[in-house]
Amino acid sequence: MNQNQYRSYKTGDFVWNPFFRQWVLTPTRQTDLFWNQWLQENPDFLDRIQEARVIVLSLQVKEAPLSTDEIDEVVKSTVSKINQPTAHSFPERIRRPLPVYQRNWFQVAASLSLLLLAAWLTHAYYRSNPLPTLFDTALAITKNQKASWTEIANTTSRPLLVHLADGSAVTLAPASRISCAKNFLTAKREVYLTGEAFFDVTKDPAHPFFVYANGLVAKVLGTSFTIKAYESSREVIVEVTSGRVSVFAQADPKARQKSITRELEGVVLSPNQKIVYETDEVRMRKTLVEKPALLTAAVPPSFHFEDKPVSEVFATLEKAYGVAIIYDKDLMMDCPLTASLDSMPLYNQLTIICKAVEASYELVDGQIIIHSKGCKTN
Amino acid sequence: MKWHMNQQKHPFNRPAELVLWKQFLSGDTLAFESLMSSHFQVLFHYGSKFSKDREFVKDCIQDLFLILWERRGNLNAEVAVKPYLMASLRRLMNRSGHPKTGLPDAVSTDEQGVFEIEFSVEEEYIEQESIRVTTQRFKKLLDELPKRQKEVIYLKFFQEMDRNQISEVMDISPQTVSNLLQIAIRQLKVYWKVELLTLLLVHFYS
Repeated sequence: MNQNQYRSYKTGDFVWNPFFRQWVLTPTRQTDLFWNQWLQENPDFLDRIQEARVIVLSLQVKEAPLSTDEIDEVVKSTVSKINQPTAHSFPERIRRPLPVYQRNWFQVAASLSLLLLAAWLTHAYYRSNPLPTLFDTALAITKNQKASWTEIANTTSRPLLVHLADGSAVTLAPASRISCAKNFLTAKREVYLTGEAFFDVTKDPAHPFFVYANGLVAKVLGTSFTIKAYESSREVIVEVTSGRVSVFAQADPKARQKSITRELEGVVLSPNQKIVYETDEVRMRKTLVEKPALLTAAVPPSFHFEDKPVSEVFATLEKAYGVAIIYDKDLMMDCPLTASLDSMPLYNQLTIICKAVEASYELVDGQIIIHSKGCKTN
Repeated sequence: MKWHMNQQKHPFNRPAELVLWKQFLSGDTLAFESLMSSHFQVLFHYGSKFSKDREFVKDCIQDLFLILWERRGNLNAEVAVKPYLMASLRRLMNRSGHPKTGLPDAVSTDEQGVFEIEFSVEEEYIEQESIRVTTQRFKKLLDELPKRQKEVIYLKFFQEMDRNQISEVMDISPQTVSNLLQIAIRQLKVYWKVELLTLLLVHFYS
């Protein structure tokens, strides 16, 4: 792919370029990397790219609203129809008078009904005598009749994508499993996790989404995050990619209260923060993820600073990564910085800044604390 | 080239869907339920382009899944699930006629079929007045496209489908898809250039 092809692009070319749209609408690490780099090499395109981005984002298809209850209702009624197959189970609306040329179809339908009855009898037989699944599949849905929970286990060596009924997506790591109530849409959105999974939760402020993992409860309103809760491990790790997640221990006496309110309580995690919950100590440690990622922004941030006050530099980092940087403003007022910190991870950027202004940093409670003795003013 | 190989939103989307599909084919009602729930919204949105009667659209989706359930023994185990479902819904709705639009069955062929799509400009993303104007112009260009071109654009850019999937959904040859897309995009861009030129000229002379 010749990256120079884009130099001939007008705004409209970007708007209707699938690769560009994909970056704007569902950015990934790779596409972020590609376009940020391309913009660095072609800074004269910044305005055009920004304009095209806004157009792609704002130009949408107006879709009729559809509530999850509505979906649930139709799905339920459909499932109940297939569970009680009778001669009437064939789509009734299609049974209405139709043009003559379609009558053959109904003869087929009639014989299908008979077949269906046979199929149902066979099905009933199989249900009473569970056989091994016919397909050697990765996805093993088993039924726990007692609690009417559905369990999905990933027995493969690759990640498995699972769609929940509310539109949320769960990427289940190998040797991990989740279970959720069969009436997931009507009841609370609750998922039990063993192992590791990445959650991309559909926004629904009225119905918070809960993940229970080895004694820890994560409550979200719509966001994406990873949870690692292997049975063999004594800790549970929650890493937030976007949005906010509230985390509390199941043993917390106020857990019930916290799960009921619509507000996020407990320890609230922002993007790039993670929490380590040690199950035998009932203690939570909030810290930052190993490699904080840039937040998605309309304009990619520039980390090129020329004789800028360090407060401005910190403000840029805070905004770019969504993290809090705590420092003594008065003490560091006279610390100017000239540095080009583009395309390097946050911790390297911090190390360089700190070296330049003779300071040091540490991570405390998911925040960055800068220790400084001030700068020499001569 | 390597950038374009990673275009799929969820690299393991298809295998997982396919597993679900196969379980459904084997008669698993839970897989059936999950398949229907996870595709309901996209089917509803697509179906709404052919009829404004939401109950009718919901009925059609229910019929579609009932038919699939009953025919599961004869269905292909290796399909792209989403395009297959959309294609089936489209056929089913065309066959069932459009009670609320008053089109008799015989007329609702592909050439004259309904495809009503409404594009909108979500103002919340826009800060600059000039971009608002430009975006409105883009919307107008989309609105002015003929129906079939609109449908191709919708599937390509708003459902992120490839040429073969669009060809399956609309029941036309891949070559026709390419042609339609090319005409539509050229139209969107040609108008863009003309309008820009006009704007510049106006600006110049005023």
